Amino acid sequence: MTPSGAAAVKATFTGAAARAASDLDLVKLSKRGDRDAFGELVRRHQHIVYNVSYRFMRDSAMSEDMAQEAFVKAFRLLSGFRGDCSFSTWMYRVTCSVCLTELSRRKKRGEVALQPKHVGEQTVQPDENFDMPELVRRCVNMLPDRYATIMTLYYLQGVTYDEIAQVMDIPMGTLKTWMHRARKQLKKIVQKEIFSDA
Amino acid sequence: MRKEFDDIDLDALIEEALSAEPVRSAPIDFAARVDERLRVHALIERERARFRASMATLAVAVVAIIAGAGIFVGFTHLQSVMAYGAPGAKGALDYWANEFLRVAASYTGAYSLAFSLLLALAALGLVVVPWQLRRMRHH
Repeated sequence: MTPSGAAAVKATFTGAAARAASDLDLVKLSKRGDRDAFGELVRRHQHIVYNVSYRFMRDSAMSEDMAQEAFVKAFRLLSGFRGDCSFSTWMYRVTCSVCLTELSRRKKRGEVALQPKHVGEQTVQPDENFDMPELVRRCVNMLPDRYATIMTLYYLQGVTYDEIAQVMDIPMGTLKTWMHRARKQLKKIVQKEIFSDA
Repeated sequence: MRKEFDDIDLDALIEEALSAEPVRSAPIDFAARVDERLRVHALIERERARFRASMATLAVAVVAIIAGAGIFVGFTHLQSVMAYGAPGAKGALDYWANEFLRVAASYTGAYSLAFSLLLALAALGLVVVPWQLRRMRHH
């Protein structure tokens, strides 16, 4: 968008005009410190960012906090966004980085109980309280960071292989290899978690 | 029990668990909270810039005071101060003031050039100070 185009969007930056502007136009306005434009970007991408965050943190309050943190970080780093990928792809990268940093910080402080609570001889029984899918989802975070990231993004609706490769900044071949290894490793972890005390 | 789990196809279980995870909606006031956080962040940044400016001013002041004291001691000869106290130092200062006035009185150079230089410095100050203040406000 030309400077005059940005000015036009800015001049009528309410309601429909804001919604009609493309992500890149909004990014350009946000780079000049326009918080309204950034607010529109937040409204557009809040659900997907919240979902990425939730899949890492597995807790509503924490994931909301991390999603907010991701947007604040994005606003700060916006000048570094060159526009060579879509804003959503760039947001995935920022969100994953924020969540993984927080998880590793918590892990160092011993705050994260990565072991699912119900793993143990008594709780391994498949009773009605045993949430197997949740256990599997939690196991994803026990993978190394890069594998956890690609697995999380892969199972998010609407995220393509291309986008994941862009987020991770790796070629498609490498991504496929990583996916294969991540699945194998995840299977081992799930197996271990289920059978550890059985 | 172990047998029960052995019977499960782990690949299918993992696939099912991950792909069937429901998509959640962000809280209704999420965007407003992000905006609030950005506002707080901007305030923090502004305060940080102010703090940096204050510390820089303090550092300059400290350096200026130390340098001033150094120059004073240098001009007044520390040994005179030590030997004769304040009157000795004052005498040394009088000497330097008289020397300066003597040189200034006999100056026949370009007064307009000196005045122009002073004016240019003042103009530069008038541009730089508001610009710095504006930068601080934006940070």
